Amino acid sequence: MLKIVLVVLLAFLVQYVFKTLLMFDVHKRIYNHRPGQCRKIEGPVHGSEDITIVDEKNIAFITSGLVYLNDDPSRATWKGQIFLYDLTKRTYKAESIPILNLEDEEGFHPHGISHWIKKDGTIRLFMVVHSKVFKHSIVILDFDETKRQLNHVRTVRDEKFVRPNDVVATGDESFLVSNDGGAQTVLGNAVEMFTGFWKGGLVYYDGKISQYLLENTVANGIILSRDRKTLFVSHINQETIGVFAWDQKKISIKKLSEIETLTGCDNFYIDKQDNLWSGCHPILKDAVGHLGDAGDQSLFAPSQVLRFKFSKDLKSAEMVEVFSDDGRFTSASAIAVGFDDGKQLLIGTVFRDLTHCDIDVPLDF
Amino acid sequence: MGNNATFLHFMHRFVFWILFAMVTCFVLRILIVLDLNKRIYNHTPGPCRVLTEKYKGTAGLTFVESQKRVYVTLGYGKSHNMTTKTGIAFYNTNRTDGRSQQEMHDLIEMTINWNGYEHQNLFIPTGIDSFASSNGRILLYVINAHPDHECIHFFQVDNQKLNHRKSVCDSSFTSLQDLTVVGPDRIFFTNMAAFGRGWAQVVEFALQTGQGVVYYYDGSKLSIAAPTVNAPTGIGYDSKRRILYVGSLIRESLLAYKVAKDMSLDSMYEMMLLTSPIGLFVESKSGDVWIAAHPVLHESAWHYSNPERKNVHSSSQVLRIRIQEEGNSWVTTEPYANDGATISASSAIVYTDDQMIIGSSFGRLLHCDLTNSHIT
Repeated sequence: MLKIVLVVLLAFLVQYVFKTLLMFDVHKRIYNHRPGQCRKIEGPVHGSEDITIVDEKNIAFITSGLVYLNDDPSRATWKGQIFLYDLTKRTYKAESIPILNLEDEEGFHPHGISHWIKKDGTIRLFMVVHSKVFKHSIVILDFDETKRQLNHVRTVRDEKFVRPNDVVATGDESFLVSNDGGAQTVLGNAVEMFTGFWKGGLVYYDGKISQYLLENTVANGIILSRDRKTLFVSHINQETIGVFAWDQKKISIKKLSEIETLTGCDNFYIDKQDNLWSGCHPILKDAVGHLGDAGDQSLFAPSQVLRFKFSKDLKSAEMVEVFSDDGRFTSASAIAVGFDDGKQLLIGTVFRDLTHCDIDVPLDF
Repeated sequence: MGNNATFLHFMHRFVFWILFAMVTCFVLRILIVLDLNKRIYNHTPGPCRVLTEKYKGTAGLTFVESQKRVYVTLGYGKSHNMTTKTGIAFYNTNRTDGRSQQEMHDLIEMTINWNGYEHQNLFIPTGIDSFASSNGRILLYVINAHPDHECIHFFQVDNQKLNHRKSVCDSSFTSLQDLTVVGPDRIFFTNMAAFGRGWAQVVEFALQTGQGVVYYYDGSKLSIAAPTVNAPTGIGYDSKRRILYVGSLIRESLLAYKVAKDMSLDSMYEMMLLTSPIGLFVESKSGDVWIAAHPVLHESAWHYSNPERKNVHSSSQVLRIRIQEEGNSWVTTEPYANDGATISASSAIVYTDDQMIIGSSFGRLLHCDLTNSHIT
């Protein structure tokens, strides 16, 4: 009896080790290719983790200065910032926008970002913010176009914002938030990853109270389709994208499909043709070192930009790899935005700079 | 006695667990080599179009600079029991000769004058290379992949005709793959495995031992240039730098050898690609190595076992290895990748004048324009 138990345990251990090796992508590597000329944008140097595009103004807001699973607050020596980039002028320079009246200026390290256009035309930004000691909130800012500054509206803290990663605005005061896990330390996160007991999920905040929509999963990047009827959720650790029907009135989601990507897609953007774009981390073993130590400039991680064209029933998607880099040029891509009718591309990274590429090759073939 | 029995019992257990560990590692290594959990993401370097899908296989390509022609071997699928015509055709890469857009993408089939060769009905061409002599003679060298007649055919080009000159056959040719020309009638070529096909070859690959060979033929004599190579496939020669490149299917790597004046090979390095190179093309000026590869081996295995099934695809990939000036480092780019929907099991590649032609084991021939060749 003991022998049988031992053999079963051994078999379990062997398959677990093997699956872990595959999870770390030990047998994969990245090959470089670009869709056209690429240049770095001056401005963000400590990350460009998420981007939101305001189509009405042809501008992009970019979050920079992420602090994540920060066991040692003294190591977070960089500033959190919001950059603005004009998509119509090829300046290759992003402007840091001053933020007024923040509750905690020193503890402002933005992560995911989204925007909402109010009835009076004001651009309202919603962003996930972590402090240096990794405390979380959703900060709401209004953009003053004339003075080119961001004014603090409100900071929302909630016990359900366990480890927020991304946010999607659904109204003047309401939003969806993704939690990419439950652990607050590097060790705790490793335990979650290795055991598969995910403590992340999806939360809806209606302006006053919050409620869980998904629990015990990994929810990284999130985005709504242009008609606001479909919600895309990155289950980054499982290397899949969850597709849900979203009902704003009933505040409910219904799973439609799960797309296997075999890569870790981070944040999303939906273009005017309803294609989903994402910055992905294709090789986990190469990403862990860099993502675990933002300050070490000698570390880098591979980058990959994918564009997904979904079928009408949203049950499958054609994937095109628009850009791929071993990390020496663009390190740890987290977000990709195809704009100008798919002729240009912005790529944001977790802890490094922002890249602007031309797309000279066909993406539909 | 008691101690002896205990010791023997312990040894039995120890040997059992060591064997168990070895077998487990062996099985896991095979699973890793099969590229589980790996997939390809489609992208192109510019607009692409299919040149032909009439033949079950366009597995070998060679470029003749003086003629601006790419010669293509047709019908490799016949070696896997597919019904198809076999032969050799060429594609003219010249874009400035006033031909129409349609004519520019035509493939011209060549007539073969066998000069009474008795085994012409066993012709299944695959790997191919060319030699252009100073007096304008163009010679073609073609691997014949028929399981009962593995040989190398020597042809001379006469405009749209090929004249058969001779064939080199040997009983040790069990699994010929590709060849590269180093001089008139002087070639290096690869024999991938001791067993030509079937389960014996599968077991040979699973054991991951080097039963493949690189041969050298000097125009009259055959010799072994590199013994015990692990599943050698594509082969290419950089004549300027005298470097021979050999792809390894199972090791998923590119081996580089320095070719001495006496044509002996000196191992230089092994470039781990983590993809299985099948066909190579070496740019004569820059020394860049273009590779047509099978990036997901379990898909290839399934595809080669079921080449007729339309819903069974194998991913395709083209890599470009830009060797840096000092020759010891390189930058790898991936000009093309496809999950098999457009082209399945890419096995040959040629690049010239911002054009890339990709051949496949059992299907289409693809032509792509490179929009930004300097960064591709």
